[in-house]
Amino acid sequence: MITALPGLGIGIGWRPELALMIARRAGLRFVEVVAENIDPGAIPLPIQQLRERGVKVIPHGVSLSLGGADPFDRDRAARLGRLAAALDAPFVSEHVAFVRAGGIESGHLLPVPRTRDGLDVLVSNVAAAKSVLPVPLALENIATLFEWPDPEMEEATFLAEALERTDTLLLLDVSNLYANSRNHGFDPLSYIDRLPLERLAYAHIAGGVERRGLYHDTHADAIPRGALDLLEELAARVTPCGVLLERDDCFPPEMELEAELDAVAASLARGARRREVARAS
Amino acid sequence: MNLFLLPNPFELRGPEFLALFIIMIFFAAIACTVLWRKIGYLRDDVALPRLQLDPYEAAYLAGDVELAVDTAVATLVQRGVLSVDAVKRSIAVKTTLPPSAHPFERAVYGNTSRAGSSIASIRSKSKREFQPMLARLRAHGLVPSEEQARRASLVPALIMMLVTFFGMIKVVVGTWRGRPTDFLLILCFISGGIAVLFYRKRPATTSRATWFLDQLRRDNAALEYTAKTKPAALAGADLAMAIGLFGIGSLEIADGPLRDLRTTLQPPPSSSGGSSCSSSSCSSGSSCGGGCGGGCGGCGS
Amino acid sequence: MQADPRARLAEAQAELIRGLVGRGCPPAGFARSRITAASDALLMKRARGVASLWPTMARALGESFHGRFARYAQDNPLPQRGGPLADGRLFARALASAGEFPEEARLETLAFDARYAACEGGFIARRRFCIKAAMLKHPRRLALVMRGSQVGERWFQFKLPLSS
Repeated sequence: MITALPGLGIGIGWRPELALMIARRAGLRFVEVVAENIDPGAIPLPIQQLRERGVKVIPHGVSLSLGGADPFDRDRAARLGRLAAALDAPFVSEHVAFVRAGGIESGHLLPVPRTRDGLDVLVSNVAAAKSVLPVPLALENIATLFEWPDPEMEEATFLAEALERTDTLLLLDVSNLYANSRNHGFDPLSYIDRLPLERLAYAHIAGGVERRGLYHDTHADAIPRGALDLLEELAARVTPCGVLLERDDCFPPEMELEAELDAVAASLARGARRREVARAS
Repeated sequence: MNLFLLPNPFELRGPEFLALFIIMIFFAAIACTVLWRKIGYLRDDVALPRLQLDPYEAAYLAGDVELAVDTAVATLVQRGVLSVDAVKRSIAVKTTLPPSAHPFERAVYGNTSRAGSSIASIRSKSKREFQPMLARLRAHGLVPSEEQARRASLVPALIMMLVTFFGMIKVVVGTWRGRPTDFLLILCFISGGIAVLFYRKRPATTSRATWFLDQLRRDNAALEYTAKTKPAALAGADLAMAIGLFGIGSLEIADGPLRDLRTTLQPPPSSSGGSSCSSSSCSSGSSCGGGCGGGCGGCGS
Repeated sequence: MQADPRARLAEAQAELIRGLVGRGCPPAGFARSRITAASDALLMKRARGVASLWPTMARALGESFHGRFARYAQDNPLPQRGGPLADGRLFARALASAGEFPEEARLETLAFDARYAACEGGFIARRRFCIKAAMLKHPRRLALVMRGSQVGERWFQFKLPLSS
């Protein structure tokens, strides 16, 4: 499955506020851009310059609404495809979520009901998207504060089956997994163990904060210890091609971001060592 | 084409000549502007060595010595060496300047009083302190020498004088024939005025400078994005380069002393007609590609 | 109740979104407190999105920004095209019709109007040349912006004599 994916290392989500820091970061091998913010016909110069340096740029969609039961929007998928071509991206990523229904935009990623019907809709939309996209697609798990009533299966099962039926790559967001395991009370390790990790393209990690007993995946705070530990667990089971740090708001001083990237690297290293030890024994 | 068969322009009737003359002035003015700008014309086959320009030199090329002064003031404000009072529109010395400061920063610092100076007075006092940097820019062919500048403005001036002369001949012919020449005379004044304008306004930079500036702006594209969205993240030298290359508009969404500085540096709307306001006060949404899409993780804060 | 599973799901998703954005009751079966928390977070995110892209307006409104925005968001769903930038423009328009629009943000809306044109469902980037003007107070002046692919974006401000 993951035959020709490049080794991407540790990357950062490209944001205008971080443009200078990213441009100066030697040894950076990939970044991710929010697809809806980039015009395929007018790619911002800093991103073009990253491409010229050999940095891979992954378009990350947020508005395809792959889990939505409204008629699938082929135009949006086509635009994502055009961006992937313009950036010469190895793949694109999107979410197992929906963002619009009944003519209203939610402005945020909402969970898909974990039922057979929900799965069928998701699979159908993903098939339609793949028919339009020129590159492989990776699906990301989302964080959600609430759940649909009467789920027919666990989140890990739902995700695993979706990946197998659609034959897509996996973008595992360990922070989203951490958030959901805290807010809905399940074991994140057995979740990871149930996923087809050979489909792992890359991982996301981001910060959040606890508020009134609920954990919020804000992308505007420090990465919690728990998420870093989950990343280590992931690395102990498989070598992710890349890990991307997502920061969208309340940007800290460069030194703090560097420290976070170092923490991510340390977690990956610890996990890799454990994998080596396990393989040797 | 037999030239002798062309109609004699001076034999044209009044309104037709006026039309011809207006078109002449228009195209001549455009041609002269192009010529005036082409000073030190860059040949495509010549490879230019990469120059390291410091932010104040870049500012001079991008704007003029005033922008260089503004850039120095902004750097010093950000470092906490100078303080700004947005209400009184004055800039004052706050602490002592560290010895490692750039010579131009030292000069600007020296021209600011503890009690507070207006930006206009700092600018006018610091203009001559720029001379050493000007000499370096001249040596690199980025700023024309006096001689080059005079020659560059002479040619367009002469062309416009020729056009004026052309019109004056028709005025003479018309007067001699007893025709009304008021309009034509006015046009001649305009044309002559343009000639004088060209002669008096010397080009400050060469086309080589334009090329370098474009290169520098391209090289600093990432700096522009960060400056326009999070100027607080910029260290002194980066902030100076951002203002020097991209103007005061780089401080669009700065907070604190830099915002006060921006208000102080922007001229109040002049009472005599238009003043061009280089910065828009809208944020960089447009450089974001038309508004951010929904749902990019991050649920509230 | 629709027979087709996809149509049924579409209905259920629509009902959920309506409940989340405050245009309907929270649907049955969902944990009430969680839906409320999600709803608050959605509003916060929408408000932050607008505040970050319309900093002058947000700063001018100060403490009252969130309250006013919440009221606007209650009656106006997210525009389908243009994202938070368009959302902010519509918010500004709502403020203006209520007489609450801050004067300091006039240039911000003028810049937006020069760069984006209204279309069905929101706004899209302009491609053609346009000129926009606005009358500003304190001091009384006319702001003019000219925008085109050749000229770029040029701003002018003309001070006007005080009207008696």
